[in-house]
Amino acid sequence: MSLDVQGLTKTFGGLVAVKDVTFVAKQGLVTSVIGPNGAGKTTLFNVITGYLRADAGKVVYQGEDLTHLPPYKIVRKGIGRSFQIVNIFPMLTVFENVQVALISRLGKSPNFISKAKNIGREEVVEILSTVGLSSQADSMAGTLSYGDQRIMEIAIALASRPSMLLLDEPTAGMGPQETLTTGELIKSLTKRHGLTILLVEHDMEVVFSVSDVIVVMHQGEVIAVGRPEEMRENEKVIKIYLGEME
Amino acid sequence: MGLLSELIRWIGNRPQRLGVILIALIFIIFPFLVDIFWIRLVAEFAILALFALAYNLVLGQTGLFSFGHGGLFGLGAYLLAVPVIKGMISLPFAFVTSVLLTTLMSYGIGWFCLRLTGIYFSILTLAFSQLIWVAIWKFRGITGGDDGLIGLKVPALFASPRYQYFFILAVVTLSLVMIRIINNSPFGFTLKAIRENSRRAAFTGIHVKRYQLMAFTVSGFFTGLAGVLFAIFTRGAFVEFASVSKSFEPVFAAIVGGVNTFSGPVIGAGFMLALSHFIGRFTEYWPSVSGVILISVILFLPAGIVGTIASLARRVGGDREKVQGQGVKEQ
Repeated sequence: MSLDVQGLTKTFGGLVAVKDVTFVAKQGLVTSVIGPNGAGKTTLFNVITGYLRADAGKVVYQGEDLTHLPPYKIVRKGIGRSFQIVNIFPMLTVFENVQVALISRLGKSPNFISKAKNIGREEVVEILSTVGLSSQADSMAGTLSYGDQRIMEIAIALASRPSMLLLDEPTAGMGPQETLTTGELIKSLTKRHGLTILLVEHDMEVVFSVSDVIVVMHQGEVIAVGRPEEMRENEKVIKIYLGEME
Repeated sequence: MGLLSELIRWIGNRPQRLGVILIALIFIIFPFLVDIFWIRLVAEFAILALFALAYNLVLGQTGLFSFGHGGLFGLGAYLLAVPVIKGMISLPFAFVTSVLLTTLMSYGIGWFCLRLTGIYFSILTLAFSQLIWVAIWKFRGITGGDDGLIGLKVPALFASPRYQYFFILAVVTLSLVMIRIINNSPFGFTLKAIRENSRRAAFTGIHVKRYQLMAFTVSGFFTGLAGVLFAIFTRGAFVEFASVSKSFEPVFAAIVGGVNTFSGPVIGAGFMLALSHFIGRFTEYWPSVSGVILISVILFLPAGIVGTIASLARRVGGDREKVQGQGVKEQ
């Protein structure tokens, strides 16, 4: 019961963005993918979630091959995601943003007779309180602070009641306090809600505090996989990050 | 007495209900007070309002810019006029078959056009409506070509403009209620989400293309209905019913009225009809006036007439919620 990425490859013209990537994200754990800019992390996410087509390799989730499914089907298999760039419904309220995903999951989207307004109200309220956005439920999503919009993204993803969540740089652009809160949220999602999480993150403090496993990518390839304390000592990893700083 | 107090409470819960009742009363009483010209003008307005509302299911609700609804409107009119005038089937029967066939055609056209997105989708819808227009133009034997079809026999009851008006009003009102229900349903809500961010919608498990196609088809249903009513209203069908300028009408009505409001397209339709009738009396260049108005609205009132009024009312009401420079949320 885990996400199995096997030999995944994605090229754009001559550029190999993701090259023969293989790793396993085990159930109930936080697996982080790190690496310098351009390592292929977001492309990897886009291939896993069906937004981009894999050129080679497989994505298997809970024993099922998801490799060439479209995004909406992958969501229905239990894999939700958030985006690196804020990707919300700006002219809907926070409540409605979450409700859209909930209605979709409940299979009620094709219903054109009953009123949408109160469908799933309790669950939306519950999700908003899990992520800490209850007080903003009736605000227009586009008016939220940047950090809150990012958190709302997670709320939207949660409404699909995923068994696995892919978070693409959830703390990017957040202040220190928001970053801390988001880290706590990620931890509680696995500990309390049993979610499997695959995380792309630049903030190393967050990565090392929440991850159970770290996958290090460089120029499209996986160069190391292991527990956080192992990665801290790994020479290849240190070299890459030092190399980046030079 | 119990009934009356019940009614008062019902209105008291939502004061805007009083407005709806007043408008309904005006529409019911006025035909007994004015002459045929006005009755016909308001009947035409009702049909145009339905056309604009149907169109806005695609533009305002789903965020798809179709430029081919004139073709569907013409299709509805001709699918009624041709078989009835040729004496193949009766009018009530043709009424039903025409709307159903137009809906079916909308599905087919939508299926093709939604292969593409954005401006390419718009161009494809335009191309399909032009195909319909050319077909009407060229198949003279069936459609009467540029002479059109005249002499549609309607039931004796419709000979009275007043009865015809009430029939049209009833069909349009029923459609309006149906569209309102659709707008507020989970389906309508899902369309709104697609309009707001189709990529995000896909990642909540929504099959975006399928919903867009459903929206286009439902819109085609009501557009066909408007075309059918118009054929009855004019006692025939003319090639202009499927022309590009017909496609332009609901675009104008929806944008001027406000695409993100429910009543916007209705107000826009009334505005447009008033323009063509009253400015048309003074100058044959009234379309240039409507062009200037469209440009002004897009530049200065991007939320449309109703959208702007609604956001002003909201601001006066103390609720300062708004999103930078954008239109207004469905009220």
